[in-house]
Amino acid sequence: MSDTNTAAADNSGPAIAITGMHKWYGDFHVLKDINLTVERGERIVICGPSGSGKSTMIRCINRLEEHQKGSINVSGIELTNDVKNIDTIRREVGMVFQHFNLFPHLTVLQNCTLAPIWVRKMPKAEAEEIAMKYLTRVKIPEQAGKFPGQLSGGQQQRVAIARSLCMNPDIMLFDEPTSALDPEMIKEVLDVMVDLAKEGMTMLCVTHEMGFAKQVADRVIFMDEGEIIEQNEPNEFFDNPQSDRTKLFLSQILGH
Amino acid sequence: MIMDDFLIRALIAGLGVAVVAGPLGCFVVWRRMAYFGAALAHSALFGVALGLLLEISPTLAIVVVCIAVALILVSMQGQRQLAGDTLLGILAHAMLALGLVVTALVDTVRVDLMAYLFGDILAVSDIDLYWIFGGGVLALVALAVIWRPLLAMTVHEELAAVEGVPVARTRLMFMVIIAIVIAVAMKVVGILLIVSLLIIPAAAARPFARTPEAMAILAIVAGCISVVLGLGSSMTWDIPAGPAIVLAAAVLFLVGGLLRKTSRSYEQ
Repeated sequence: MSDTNTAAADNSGPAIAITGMHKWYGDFHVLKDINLTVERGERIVICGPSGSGKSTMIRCINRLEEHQKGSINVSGIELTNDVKNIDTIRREVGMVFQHFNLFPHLTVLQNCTLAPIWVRKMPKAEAEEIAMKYLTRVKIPEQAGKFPGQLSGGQQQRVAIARSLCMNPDIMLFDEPTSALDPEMIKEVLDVMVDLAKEGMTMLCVTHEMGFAKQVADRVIFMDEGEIIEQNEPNEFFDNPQSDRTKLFLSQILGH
Repeated sequence: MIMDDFLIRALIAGLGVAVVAGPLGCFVVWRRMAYFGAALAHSALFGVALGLLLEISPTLAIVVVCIAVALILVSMQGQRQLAGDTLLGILAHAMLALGLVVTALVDTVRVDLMAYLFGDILAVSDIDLYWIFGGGVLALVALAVIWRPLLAMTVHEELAAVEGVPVARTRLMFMVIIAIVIAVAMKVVGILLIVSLLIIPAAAARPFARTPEAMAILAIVAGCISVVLGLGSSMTWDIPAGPAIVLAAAVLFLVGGLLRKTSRSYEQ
């Protein structure tokens, strides 16, 4: 990896370009020779068995995990140890986690305005206006004055999505956003993500919701043992998987 | 009049420490860092020994040693060979033992080990007061500066990082603040009881607070009451002041817990 000077985001090229990326945890080779280009507005679903490295891969994109070999470029900026570059990239990339992690003592609106006011130094009125816009987009503007504890899991995850959108990211990473939800709440979160996808947001989503993948993904990526085994557009991926490992995974996940 | 002087100084010192320890203790409780604080406090004795050996202020030496130990602990957090609490245990007790050994080797000064281990609030000098209030104000200002990012990190560190909070810098500042508070609070309750002043008032405040800021204020109040009750008990029953303050805080915690439980059963 070479250090580059602190750069501004370049929105003319690919959103993300990962080349020959490797990552190790001690002796454990967790990501092996990852090569992936994500174009602007592209929706990618990443699936694979537990421990296959899919969450680790997307966490490398915003430097929550550090890669040891290869390169990651986000909006034309190479991820290195340069703190300013990391900060610039994190401004470009929003992330939604499995758990909602809302401040329990703050209202939904306050949760959404927190980072814009504290980190971006945005005036409160402007932050609230943006927050209401995104709460409307995730279809819960009427919950703005409530506390997280008064909402269902699905509603809380929608708040988490709205909170992330309030930072105005160009790219959204979703790390199993529905896996902590009760089955009846999954649909409402997926519906919000489908709407986001339709609006042209660049999205990388780690999920086992294959219906979502079929509906919105431009590309589905299958990972196993730290490698990208197969990637294809959804119809071809599901109807005509090439690798035996993909076939086995799909038979297990779609067989129920 | 002499008695009044040392009592007033003890009271001022105790209240000063309580005001700083309250808000800081809230973070120690929220972030489940009680054992981390204990590890730093145990290292303080090595700081004392180093101060005596190098003939510099023991308080300054404690701050330096605590920051160094905090940095070592943070840098070793990523290793996967040992569980976090095992690592803390090893470092805490190794540093305490090192402090005891080096203190024994310092033969130029007679060291009152008991005062360092359990505090000697009744012997607080004017210089100690300067340290407590100078260090205390510094720690409070620094804590106010990092309050919001630290709170965001406490709710979810990775989310805070994603949202642009300078996580590494904030964590480092938090460690330095803990180191400063341990150094200045040592005179009041001693190395072995310092962490109790951080966690007990905060834990006592927790059931009554609806917001982090309210909990910080209530923790200050609980700490101040503990200092007054502890010093009063010490004078009344001729018991050691430091442990008396900690016991008073523990009683407050128990009474508060019982009161909260009773009021909840009434509400139901």
